[in-house]
Amino acid sequence: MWLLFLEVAVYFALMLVIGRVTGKWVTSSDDYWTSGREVHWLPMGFGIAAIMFSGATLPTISGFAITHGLWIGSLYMWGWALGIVLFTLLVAPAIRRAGIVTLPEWIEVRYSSKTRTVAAIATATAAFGALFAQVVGLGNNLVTITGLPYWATTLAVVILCTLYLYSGGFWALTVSDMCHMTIVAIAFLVVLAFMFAKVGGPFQVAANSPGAAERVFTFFGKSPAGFTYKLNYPSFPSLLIGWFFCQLGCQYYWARAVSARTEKEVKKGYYLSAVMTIVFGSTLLALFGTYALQIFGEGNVTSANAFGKLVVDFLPVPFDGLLTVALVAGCMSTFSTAVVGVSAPITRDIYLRIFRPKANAKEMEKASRIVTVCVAIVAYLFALFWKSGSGHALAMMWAFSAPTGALVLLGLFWKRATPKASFIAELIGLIVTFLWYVISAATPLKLVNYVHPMWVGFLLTFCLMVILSLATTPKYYGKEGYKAPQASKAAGLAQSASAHVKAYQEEQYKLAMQNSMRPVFGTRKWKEALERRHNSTTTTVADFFYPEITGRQFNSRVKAEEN
Amino acid sequence: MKDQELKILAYIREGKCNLVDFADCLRISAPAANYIMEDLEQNGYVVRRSYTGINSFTYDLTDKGVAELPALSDKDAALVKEGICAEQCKMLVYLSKATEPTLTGKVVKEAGLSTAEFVSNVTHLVDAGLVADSGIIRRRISITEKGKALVKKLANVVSA
Repeated sequence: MWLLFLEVAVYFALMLVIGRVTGKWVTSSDDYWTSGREVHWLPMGFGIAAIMFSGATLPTISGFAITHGLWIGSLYMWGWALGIVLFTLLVAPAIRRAGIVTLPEWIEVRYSSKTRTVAAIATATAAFGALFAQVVGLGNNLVTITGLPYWATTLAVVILCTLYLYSGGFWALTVSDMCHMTIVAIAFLVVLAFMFAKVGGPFQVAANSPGAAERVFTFFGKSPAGFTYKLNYPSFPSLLIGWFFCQLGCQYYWARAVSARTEKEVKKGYYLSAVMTIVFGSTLLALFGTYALQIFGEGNVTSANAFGKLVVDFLPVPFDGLLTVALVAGCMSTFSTAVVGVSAPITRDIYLRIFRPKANAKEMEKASRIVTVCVAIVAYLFALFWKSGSGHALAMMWAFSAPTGALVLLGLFWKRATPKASFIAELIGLIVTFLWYVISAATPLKLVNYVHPMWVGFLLTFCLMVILSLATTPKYYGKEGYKAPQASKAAGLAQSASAHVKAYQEEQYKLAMQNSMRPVFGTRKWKEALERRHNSTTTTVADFFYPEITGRQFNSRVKAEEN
Repeated sequence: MKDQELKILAYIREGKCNLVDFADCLRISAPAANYIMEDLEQNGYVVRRSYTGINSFTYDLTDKGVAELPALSDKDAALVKEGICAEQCKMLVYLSKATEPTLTGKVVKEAGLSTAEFVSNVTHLVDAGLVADSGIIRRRISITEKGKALVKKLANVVSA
């Protein structure tokens, strides 16, 4: 056991060093929340992916593999990755270009100051769901592994995360997330390799695990009736789309795009995170549940204790410590991101805007740090009382993000969406979401069992927005008959710089398309041989689809020979 | 016309035409920058590239907007023609003398650049292929061959 504690202690020390070093890089409130817009796509991608390896998702995914089946466990991450791809295609670069720091700021840019306040409450509530879900998930796992009390294990992690966040803000988050994700990926691969050797390969285990015929060899496994079409949680449509609602309307996901160096890096970072979660987090992670079921037998393992039992009752030294560190790392990364996700809107959109609008840079930085600490303390106290159901706490995050998500989509793609409609629709969407939970908890009418509040929040807000927008006055550019002024054609002045950038981008795109068929892996000799072929006569698939971009015709060589 | 509005028109002329550029350069929040842009657009000085999607945060000058700005000096006109502004030119000249990729903080300090406009200027130069950035954690920048060629081309302008 002492070796396990040593491994965790070394990891904690590393986090404190990161906090101290990155603290020196923060010179203003903007630095604290956005890292001065200097984050490279690689740590950004690691950081976004790290969000998904959390105290809530790890037991949820392995738990789904146990209760519903391997593929439903994987689906949880596929839904997330699909959401990220859609989010990147539709929204992420626009976040960077808009120059906002928080999601509610974007809401004010597009709609109004009043809607911003409601959106701030919504996004802070949503991220708070994720925040205490991490503490709960981590606490439950560490209690099983270490035998220490729940309050003590969670308190240690909360204090540590708060210390490095207080010091380094988003910089600390970025650097620590890279470490977290690297450790999680290595640990999962090493521990799974050990389990493959010890218990048998995935196919062997899948075939031998209890109820394998259903759990592994059918897509919907042992899922309950109506799983494929119901809108409750968990169901196929909810798992597939829920994450997208969350990504659209939660500061948690927006913060990363805000801090990237350029729009191109935003895209690269988000796509990288989608690939990483599919590779490390979908089937691979669900396999832990299938293995736990095979090792301990039906009825002896649950979603809450699968990881804990593997560490305590199955894995030898040093694999037990490695998996524990991975669990702690995953939880810490998501906890820190969620603290930032809650603190940023509370600081910038509520406290500083309403109570201290004339605060100087120093005051803003101080307020940012104090709010961070307060949020962590509240999350800890909340987690002490909740203690169970981290998966449902995450689904709560989906629900409270959904109304804002509807505003974001309409605001970006429909110029007729009006500020007045946005305020009313967001407010009603949020209240109904809240009441949906209250009625389900306080009355025998269990509404959440029929329709999850995220669907209610999103669809209600969306429909209200459309109806009310058509009945109210839009911004000047949405009015019927509005004629936009013409851009100046003064050569060498207004458009010159943009034209240079555009020309360069086209040149780069063309180059990228020409290179698209070159392999990423392979020996130098192999790559050089392909390079020679590419540069001499052979055309690529890119030439077939985009001849105007690559400047080459797919069948040009054939034609030349014919001639 | 207010000072901030004139500065924004000048930024657009220099190629810094996204909302993020105005907010960063003027050290104001994005909503504050947006209120200024909406005023300018309603008065006909600027126009958005689009009213939906990502380009709704990008602006161009109108003829009325160009007329509000003082005429460019010969030097500035030569620079704008190449798609850069004086501050970006200063950065390129500094980087052309640097022997290795330099930390952004060091560039600001040693080249005497404006801190507020720095991120915006670097982003523009990277997008135009004149500067390359490296460094996975801390950002380092260096001049590209294209950037070096431009500095050479503008040697007379720079020395003037």
